[in-house]
Amino acid sequence: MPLTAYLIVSAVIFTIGVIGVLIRRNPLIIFMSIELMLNAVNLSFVALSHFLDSVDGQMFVFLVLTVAAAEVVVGLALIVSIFRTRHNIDVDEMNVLRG
Amino acid sequence: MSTPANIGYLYAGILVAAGFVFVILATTVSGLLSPHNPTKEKLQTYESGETPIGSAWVQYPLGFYIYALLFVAFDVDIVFVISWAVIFKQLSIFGFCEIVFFIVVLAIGLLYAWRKGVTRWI
Amino acid sequence: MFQLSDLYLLAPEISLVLLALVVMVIDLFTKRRIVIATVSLVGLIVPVGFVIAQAVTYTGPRTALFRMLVVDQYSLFFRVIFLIIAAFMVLASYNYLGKYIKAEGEFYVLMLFSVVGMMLMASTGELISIYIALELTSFPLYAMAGLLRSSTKSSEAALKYVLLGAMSSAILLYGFALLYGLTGTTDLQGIAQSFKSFGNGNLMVIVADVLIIAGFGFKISAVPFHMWAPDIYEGAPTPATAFFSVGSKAAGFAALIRILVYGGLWQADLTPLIVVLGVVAVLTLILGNFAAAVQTNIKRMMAYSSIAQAGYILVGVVATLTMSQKNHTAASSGIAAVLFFILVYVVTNLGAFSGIIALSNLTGGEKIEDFRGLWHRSPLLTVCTSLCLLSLAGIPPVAGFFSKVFIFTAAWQLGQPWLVIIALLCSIVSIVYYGRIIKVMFFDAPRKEERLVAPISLSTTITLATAALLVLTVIVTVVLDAANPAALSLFASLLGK
Repeated sequence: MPLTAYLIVSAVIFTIGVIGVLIRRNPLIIFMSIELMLNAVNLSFVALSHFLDSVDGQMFVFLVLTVAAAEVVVGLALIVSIFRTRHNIDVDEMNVLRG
Repeated sequence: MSTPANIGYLYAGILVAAGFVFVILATTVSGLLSPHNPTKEKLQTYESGETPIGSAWVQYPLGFYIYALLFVAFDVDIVFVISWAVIFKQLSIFGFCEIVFFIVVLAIGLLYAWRKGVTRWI
Repeated sequence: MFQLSDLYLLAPEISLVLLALVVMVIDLFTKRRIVIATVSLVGLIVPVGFVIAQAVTYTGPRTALFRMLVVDQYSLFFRVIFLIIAAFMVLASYNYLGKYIKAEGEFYVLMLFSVVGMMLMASTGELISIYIALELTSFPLYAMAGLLRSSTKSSEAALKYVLLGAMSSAILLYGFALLYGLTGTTDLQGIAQSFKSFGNGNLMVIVADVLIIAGFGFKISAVPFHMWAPDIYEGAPTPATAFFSVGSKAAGFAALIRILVYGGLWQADLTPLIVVLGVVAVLTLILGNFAAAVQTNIKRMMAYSSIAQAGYILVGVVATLTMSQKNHTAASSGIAAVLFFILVYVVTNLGAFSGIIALSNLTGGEKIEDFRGLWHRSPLLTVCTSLCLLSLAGIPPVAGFFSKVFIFTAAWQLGQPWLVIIALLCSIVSIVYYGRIIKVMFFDAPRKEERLVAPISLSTTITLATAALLVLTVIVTVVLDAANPAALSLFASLLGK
């Protein structure tokens, strides 16, 4: 399969992720959408790495995976701490701060 | 069009389509032919023969989440240790020192979690 | 291959990591805040010493660890800035932590880890390590925003920060993926080499540029990626806010300039790049200044003010890019002005924030009206805070005036007169809102008469910041002498080939 196919799939997944972040209201689902974005990037890194015949892209994927895990841990820990105080995590109801 | 690779995709496509058709046919035909006679017992959630108690939507205690978070944080780091182990011989003493430093930093993280009482239940 | 001298080049960061780990372990076994703060402050001497040693024995740009680490004058300049931030933060947060936050040790540890990330952001020449450094900077910031655990505002702010920060780094990563795809390498020098042969009109280059600017736009809170800033600045504990407003911004700019200039992105499709950055700069200036003028909460006002300051820095970056294809020496004057501006901004904003921390601690309020008549109640704090605010507004006697003048003259000479005019008009607006606070503090009737006595660490911090500001005003030329070669070093490595 040509490189373009992988890149298009990756772009589509990335866009789905962006849309998910923008329209969903539950922080957990927003996190999933962000995961989707990161994995779309990983897909293009792996594909590019294969077609360019260089390992840098795959190294990038390793590091992105671990960093993404850490990111989710920070986020979930915050969600747990919010949940402890208010038993609700809908971002629409987070209206103490107004942008 | 006539390369073997493309032929392979064609076969795979036919197989997938055939799979879908088979599943759809089987479910619709059995739905049309079978008798429809629901009772309360039949509609119950199947839990290996036990009668289910309460709703299936229960909340897990928050303590589980903390464990899960710790697990995720430490689990993924294995990716570095494994890739280090694969080329252990080429990396020589410097690679060894690096991985030791890495694990020491992780251990300090674990020490932190332990002192903060995360490992105690409740 | 790896050499031991590589470790010496990385020594400031390594020693800072070790310091953070030591502080973390000490915090587990003692609950005395004074011990933790002292260890952090004294321990900072080690990285500072290494940076000074590297600066004194500097002979030319060096790379280490497979070209991941670049030690040139640019990275040394930023390392100094970040270490200044760390030292100020330890002092400035001391009293606030005792009063509001239960997790004092964590605050220092997170702050130190974040500073390590910032230092690395300025001194890596490689996309992978820039990404790692960026995340190392951001994660502690997320946690710091949520440290005020009893306040719903604080945890909300933290969650918003994580979500938007994670999204922005994903966008940035996509830009990196495109860069990697275009050039086949993650090494910035390699990217610069391969960009030499790119013609104009390559759509992928433009998309990569836009994604990278969008990704960093969040970190430097440039409009239209600024919407997180006011909420998070308001919700987070005030010392953390001070840290976000200087650290995250300076580091974001350090890495952005490193990629744009050192990574040679200006060599292909320069016009779209300039247009995009120019539009972002203008929007940032206008929205930041005008929104700041209508705020009633002082932290929100400072948030919009810091957005506006990012606009001035962007003007300098755009100016450099404008000239970058024609004359490297001239173009680097824009970056030099930016470096000077960032240094002054860091000192001033830290001073202003410590003043605000002190005053709002004492009065118990964060509204601008709570600051009425403070001149009668705490003269020293009021004068120092006012000086910092004057510098932010760019009023002549203080360093902020020079930093703005340098950016504006550089931008004018490099061929961006319109940007300069817009920026000038916006600074006039900024005088109004900074002046309003000063007026409230000096001329309005105080609410109560009793004198306010600031705790010793805070008054030391603010006096130090103001003194540093005044010293900066005197030694402008000395700093510029350091900033000019630092700016040129970004281009020099490219010319050397």
